[in-house]
Amino acid sequence: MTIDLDRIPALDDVQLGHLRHIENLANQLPGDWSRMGGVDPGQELFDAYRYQLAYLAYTLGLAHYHWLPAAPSAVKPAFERTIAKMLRRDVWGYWKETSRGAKVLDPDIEELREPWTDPVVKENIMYSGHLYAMTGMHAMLFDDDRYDEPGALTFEWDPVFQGLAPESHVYERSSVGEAIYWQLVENGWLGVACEPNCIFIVCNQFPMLGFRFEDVRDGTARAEEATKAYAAAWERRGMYADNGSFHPFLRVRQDRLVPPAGVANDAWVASVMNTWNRDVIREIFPKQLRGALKTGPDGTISPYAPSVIPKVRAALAAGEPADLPQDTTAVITDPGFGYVAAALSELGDERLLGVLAHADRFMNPRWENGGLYYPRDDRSWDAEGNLIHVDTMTGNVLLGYARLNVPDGLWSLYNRPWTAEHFAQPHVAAQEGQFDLRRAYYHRDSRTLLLTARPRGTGSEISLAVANGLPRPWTLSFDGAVVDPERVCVEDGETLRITTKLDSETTLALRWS
Amino acid sequence: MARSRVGGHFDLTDHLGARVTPDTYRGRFMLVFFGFTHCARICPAVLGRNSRALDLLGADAERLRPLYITVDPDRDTPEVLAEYLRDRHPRYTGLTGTAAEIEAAKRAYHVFARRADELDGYTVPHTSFTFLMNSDGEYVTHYLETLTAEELAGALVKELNRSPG
Repeated sequence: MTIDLDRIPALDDVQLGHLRHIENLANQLPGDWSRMGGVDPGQELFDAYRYQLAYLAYTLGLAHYHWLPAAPSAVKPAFERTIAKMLRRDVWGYWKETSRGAKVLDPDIEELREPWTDPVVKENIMYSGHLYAMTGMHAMLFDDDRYDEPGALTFEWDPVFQGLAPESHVYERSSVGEAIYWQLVENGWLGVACEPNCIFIVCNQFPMLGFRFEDVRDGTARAEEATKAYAAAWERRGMYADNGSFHPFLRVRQDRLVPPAGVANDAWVASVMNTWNRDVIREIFPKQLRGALKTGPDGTISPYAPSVIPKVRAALAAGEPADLPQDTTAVITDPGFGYVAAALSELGDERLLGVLAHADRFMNPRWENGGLYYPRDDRSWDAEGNLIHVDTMTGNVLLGYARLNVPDGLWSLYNRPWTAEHFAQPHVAAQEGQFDLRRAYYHRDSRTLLLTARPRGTGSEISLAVANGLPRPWTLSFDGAVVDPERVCVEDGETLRITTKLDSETTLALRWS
Repeated sequence: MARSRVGGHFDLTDHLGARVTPDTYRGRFMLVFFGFTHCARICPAVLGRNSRALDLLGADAERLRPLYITVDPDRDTPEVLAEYLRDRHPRYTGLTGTAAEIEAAKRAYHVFARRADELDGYTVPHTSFTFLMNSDGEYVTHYLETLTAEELAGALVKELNRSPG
């Protein structure tokens, strides 16, 4: 059987660049947050390390599932480093101050609460929800429950000079899920608070992913229960503002929903809620986007500043020209651009190409150590009124997420999770050497494992450990030419190790008869 | 460290006026449901479903003590609970208490209940779980309102069989 390589998923150079940048960030030494620092010193805004780390992991997950399904080796090490970084105090330690409450978020507060350091036990779903989704996704993708081992997710509060016994908060994946579940119950399924008193709709989407992935591992049905109850609770409370946008959050004590502004929150919610509520998202998100995107030079697309959107919608409704100028007095700080890209990718909206074209033209793409990213730029607009703001979420990961995603990409992870059948197939379980995998796919009909490897730099000795190989005989070819297996292969028990010098991009085909 | 423990101590008054704690029911499984007698939808449905499931259990039902804890102590006095349960759900024991006692019980079971005022009164939307606690008063599991009586009876039998006696 002849395999048409063009029909086998393969990453292009730009996608590989994003993947490499993610790997570069994940490989930074513990405590080295180069290129990840944000404007706020307290990890309180939408570019905080926790969000970047979570999205680095989700992007790796999308890349593995959709592009490199036969090579967990290419993404698993970096995925696990993002989780290791999530457990560092510099990521979650903000909670000791944030747990006290805040006047801005709870106007009726009379005094701040006693603080606590445990980042999971109560509230803070903006952290725990991501940790739960990340560890659940890891289990689903890699058939590996290491984060559900007792104490696998332990938080140590132990300032160097405090001199007191460390506070250890001991969790594992399932107990993080339990903590979230029972808070949802207590709160009538409206959600768990992020900052005290604030239930953000978007942050409560991520634990739904966690429930689903844990269900896949445990054979439970908590995601179905949670999403149904959540949808019913918000049906009663009202999730949408008059303009059709999602309310960003509920102030619990005041029982008051905060009004939306712009399309950033809608896009972020839609990109994730599409997993469990696709029919609704398909209906409402296009309406939420109406009049929210500005077409610039050469088909580039960027979001309008929030103040302009109502005017564009009014013009559209009146049948008048709706290409209005940006409001360059607006100060852009959030990752709205990146959220829009992520949502368009999930919904398969072709306008994603225009958004990415805008990023490439106006947001200073940079290649570094083989990785592609868009460096932080705190300015909002250039002299011509083009959006040039780049936060670290957008520049480090959200644009890569959008490029590595496919239509209904996260939906697929949620609704078509990998099962034992997938894990029984031949795959690369471990790899060594300086190279990128552009393609890693097991072609079941022809019983062929296809790997396209590209050296990093001038060339590299590479080693690939292939697990779950089928019984002999097999042949190995490099770019279609059969090679002498004695020269490159060693069978080690059930693992077949391929070791070779890689001088240029090469497609390896390991075919079982 | 505070973890998501479910259940625990409560100090309440039963529908006959006796003070009760989990120790009162030690030696039997507790089937705990929170609600209020003015509830128009969830309570009648869940209590009815639970009562039918207990009927299906036959003699095994004697190993369970069904408890109905009010989330509306202002209206649900012992007398009101007794009147409400007598004919509809005679297997059930109704429990009430002061606002603080009920609040503590709700907190222990992670129960949501919030008063919502209406024109001619109020309702109290609330958690619809039925909790199963073992003979030592410890949490075993909980059941959703979507289960049928037959499904619930089957699930209860399974749990009872795990604990002979």
